[in-house]
Amino acid sequence: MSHLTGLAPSDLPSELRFLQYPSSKESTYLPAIRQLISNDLSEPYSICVYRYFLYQWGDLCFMALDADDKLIGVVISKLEAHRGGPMRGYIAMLAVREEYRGKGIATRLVRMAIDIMIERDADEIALETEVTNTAAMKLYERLGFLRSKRLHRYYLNGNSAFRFVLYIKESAATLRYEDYDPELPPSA
Amino acid sequence: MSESRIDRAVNGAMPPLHELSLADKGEETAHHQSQAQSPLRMISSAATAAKDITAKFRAAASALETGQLVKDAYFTLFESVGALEIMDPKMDSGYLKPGEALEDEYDVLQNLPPEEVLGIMDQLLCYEMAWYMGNPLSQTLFTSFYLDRMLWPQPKSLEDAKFDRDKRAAPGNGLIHVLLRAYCVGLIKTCDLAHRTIGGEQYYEEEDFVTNLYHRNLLTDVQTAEVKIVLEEAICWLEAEFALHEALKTALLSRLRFRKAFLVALDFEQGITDAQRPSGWEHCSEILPTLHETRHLGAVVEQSFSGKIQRRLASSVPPRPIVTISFDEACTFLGRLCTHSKEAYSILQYDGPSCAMNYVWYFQARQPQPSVYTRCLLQSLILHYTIVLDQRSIKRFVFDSLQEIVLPGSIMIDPANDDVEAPQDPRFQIVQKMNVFISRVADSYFEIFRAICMNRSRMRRMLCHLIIEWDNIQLEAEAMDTDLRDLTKEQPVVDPKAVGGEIWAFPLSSWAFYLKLQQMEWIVHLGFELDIYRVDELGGMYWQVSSASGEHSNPASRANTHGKREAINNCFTWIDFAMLQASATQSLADGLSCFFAFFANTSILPAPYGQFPYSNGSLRYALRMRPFLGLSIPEVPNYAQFAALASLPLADVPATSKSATKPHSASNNPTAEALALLDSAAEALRNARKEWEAISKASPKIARTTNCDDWWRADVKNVLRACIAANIAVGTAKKAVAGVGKGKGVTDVLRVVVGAEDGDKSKGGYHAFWVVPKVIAL
Repeated sequence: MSHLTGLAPSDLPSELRFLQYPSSKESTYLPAIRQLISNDLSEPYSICVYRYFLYQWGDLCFMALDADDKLIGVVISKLEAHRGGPMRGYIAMLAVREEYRGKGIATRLVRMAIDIMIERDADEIALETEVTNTAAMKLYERLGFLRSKRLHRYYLNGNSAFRFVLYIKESAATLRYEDYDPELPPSA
Repeated sequence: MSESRIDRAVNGAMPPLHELSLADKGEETAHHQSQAQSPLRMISSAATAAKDITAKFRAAASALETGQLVKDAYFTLFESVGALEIMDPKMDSGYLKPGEALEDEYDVLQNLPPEEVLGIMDQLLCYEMAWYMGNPLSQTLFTSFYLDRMLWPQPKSLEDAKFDRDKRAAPGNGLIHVLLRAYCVGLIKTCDLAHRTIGGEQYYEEEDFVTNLYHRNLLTDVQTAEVKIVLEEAICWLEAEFALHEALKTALLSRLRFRKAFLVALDFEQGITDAQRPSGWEHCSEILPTLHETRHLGAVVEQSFSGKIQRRLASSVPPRPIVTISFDEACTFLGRLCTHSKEAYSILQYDGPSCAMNYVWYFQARQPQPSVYTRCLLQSLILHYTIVLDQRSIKRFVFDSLQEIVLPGSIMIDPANDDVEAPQDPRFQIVQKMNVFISRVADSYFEIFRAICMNRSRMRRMLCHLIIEWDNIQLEAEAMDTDLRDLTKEQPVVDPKAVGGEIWAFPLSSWAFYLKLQQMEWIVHLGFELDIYRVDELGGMYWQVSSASGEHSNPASRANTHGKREAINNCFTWIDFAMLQASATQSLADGLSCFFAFFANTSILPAPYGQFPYSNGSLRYALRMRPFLGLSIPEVPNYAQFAALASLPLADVPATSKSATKPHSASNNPTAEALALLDSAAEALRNARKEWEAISKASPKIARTTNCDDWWRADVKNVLRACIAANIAVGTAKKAVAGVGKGKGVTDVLRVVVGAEDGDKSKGGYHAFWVVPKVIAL
C-alpha cells in the first residue's frame, strides 16, 4: 500500500507524543488519519479500508501528535497467519506530514508497530513501496528489510513496487505457503 | 445537487438493492432529482414480497459503535479496498458537483472539416496504443463519443455499426459517415483481434493488460473480410474526392491504409503461422512514417472525448483520469509493436529447442521489452494447440531437446521405436516408458517457455515457482533412468574414483538438472536486473551465480555416448560450448564476487555489516535464498558456510570477534586475505575476458542462435564490455591499494561507485546482469 515519507534518523522533535490508536476515539482521530494518508493518493481508500485495519488491529496503529494534538504521522498495520502459513505482519500505510519529514518520526512509528508484532509472535513482516520512493526504501532497509520481489505496474498510476520482507524467525524461511501474489490490491 | 451511486444501482438491474435504497429515504443530502424512474421503485413479482426493513435496520445499526466492523470471515482486505464511498467525488463516479451535467454533450453527427477528422483519428490512435500499454478501455478508447455511439447499444450487424443509429436521414458529411466510420470500424475490429490473441495466452490482468470490455462487443461476430471491404470502399471514396487539399487527402488516405494493414496483420484467419504474416507487419511499418510526417495537419477535437462516458461503462469503479499519451509516443510504441511482431515469426525457423529457447530469451531481453501483444503472439507461435513452432509434435520437440542435451542418437528417442508392435520387444517397452516421461514433463517444459514470455518481474516470480517443479521432475527422472537401463542395455563407465566404481549416464535426470540450473541462473540474473539486490548483497549473489554455473559441469559431462556418430558430434560440440559458457559465467561471477568481497572486507563500500535492530545476516540470507531452499540439489549452504565460501565478513558480528574474514577499519592496511581477494578477482576476470572473447567467436550453429544471432551477439558484446570494465577497475584498485600506508588507509586511496545504487543502469552499466563497480583512485 502506500508509504509516504522521508527520513533521516536525527533528533525527534521533543514536543511530539507517540501513542497507540485508541479505538474508542475513532471520531477524534480517523478523519485526520484519512486526511494525512490520502493527501498523496490519486484514488483514496474508502472508510472500509481504514476500519478493516483499525477495528481488527487498532493496537498496531501508532500516531505521532504535536503539542496541540495535531496528527503529524501515522502507521497502520495488521498481523495474521498468511495463507495458512507464517504469522505475517503487514505494514499497510505510513505517512508523515511533509514539514516533519526527515526527523525520524516514520522510523519511530514503524518500530513501535514492529515491536508489538514481535511480541505477538510474528514470523515475518512485509510491505510494498513504490520503486521510486527512495526515502521509504532507505527507512526499511536500515531496519533490516530486504527486497524480495518486484511487482510490475502494481499501482494504478502504472508504477511498479518492491515487496520488502523482514524475517523475524529462522522458521519463516522454511514455512511453505503460497507467496507469489500481491498481498493487497493496491491503490494510488 | 448530485446523483449517487445508489440511484444507478437501483435503476439498473440489481434486484435486492431496493431495500438498501430505503436508507436514503428522507436524507437531505441526496437529491434524486434525475431520472424518469423513481429510485424507490419497488420490485415485485410472484416470487418476491417486498418488505420495508428500515426500522429494523436502524434499530440494529444503533447497537453498533462507530467504527465497529461487522463482517464474516470472507470479508478480506480485497473486499474492503473494493468498497466505494457514495458522495465522495474521488470514489463515486456518479457524483455531480452543483450545476454539473451528468454527461458532456457532443453531437457525433455534426459536419466536421477534414482537419478535425484527421485530428480525431490521430487521437484515437493514441488511446488505442495506451490500451495496448495496459490501460483500461474506459480510460482510453471508450472515452470517444464516436466509438460510444457505434458500440452502444450493441450493433447487431456491421451495417448497424455507424454514428446515425436512430435517425433515418442523418446529417453529417461523407468525411464522418464514410471515412471516420470506416476508421472506427477498422479500429474496433483490430482491437477485437488483439483482445482475443492476448486473452488466449498467459498475461497478467491489470499489470500487463486490462481485458474488461464493459459489456461492449468489439464487432466479434463480424468477419474481418467485411471490415476490410468497408475500409477499401472508404479509400475509393476518398481517392475520388477531388475537392480535398492534396496534403490532407494523402494524410487521410495513409490513415485508412494503415487501418487496413493493421487489421490484416492481426488477423489469423489464414492460420496464425501463415507465411504472409510477417509481411503484413512490414506493410504497417512502411505506412507509419507518413502518419507521423502528416500529424501536424490534424486539428484536435477535444470535446469529442469525455471521461464522463465512464459512468455508463462501470458504476462500481471510481472515476479515473483519461490516459493521454502524445502522438509521437503512440507512433514510437506502434512502430516497435510492428517490428517486434514481425520479428516474432523468426522463431518458426526451426533449429532445435535450445535455439528456440535462446530466441525467446534474447527476444525478451531487449529494452524496452516487447509489449504484451507481441509476447502473447510469441506464445501462440511456440505452442498452438498441440503443434510446436508450426511443425513439431510436443513429444518430438521434447525428444529433440533430450537429443541436443543428453541423448545424441540414443535408442530411447529413436522415432523408429514407434513402429515396433511386439510387446516383448525392449523398444516397445521403451516407448511406453518414454510416453509416461513425456506426459510428466511436457507441461513443465513449455512452462519454461511461457515464463520467459512474461514481463520481467513476473518472469522471475514464475521461475521461482517452476524450479521447485523441476526439482521434483529431476528426482522422478532419476528413478526412470534406473528403470530404463535394462531396456537400453546401458553399460556404466568404469571409474575407480566414482562411488561404487562406475558411472551411469542418468540422461533424463541430467536433462532436468540442466534445465533447472538454467532457471536458477536466470532467477539470480533477473534479481540484478530488477534491482532486487542491495549493493552489499552483490558479492554474495555473484557467488551464487558462480556456484550455479559451476554445477553445470555435472549433467553435461554425462552425455550418453551410445549413439549415432553425427548426433554425438552435434551434441559434443554443443556440450563444449555449453561448458565454455558455464565456465565464462563462473569466471566473471567469481571475479565480481571476489571484487565485492574485497570492498566488504575493507569497509570501502558502506556495508550493512553492522547491527540491525530486527535482523541478522542469517535471517537476511535465509530470505535471499528462499527460492532455492526447497531444492534437493544443489544444496544451499547455511549462512556461516556461505559467508566463508563467498569470503564475506559475517554480518552482525562485532569486528573483534572471530569471523570468516575480519572486517577492517579504514585506517588499517588491508589484510593479506583481503589483498588475496583482489588478486583472485584479477585472475578470474582475466579468464572471464578470454572466455567471453572465445564465446563471441562461436558460430550461430554452435551457439544455437541461428535465428537470433544479432541479439545474442549484441548481448555477448555487452558482457564483454562489462568484463573489460571490471578488469580495468581491478587494475585501478590494485594500483591504488599499493599506496596504502604512511598514514593512508584504504579509503584514503580509493573510492567506489556502484551504478545500480542510484537506480540508473545507463550510468556505467554495460549489462543488466553484470554490475561492475567503478573504482576511482584518490
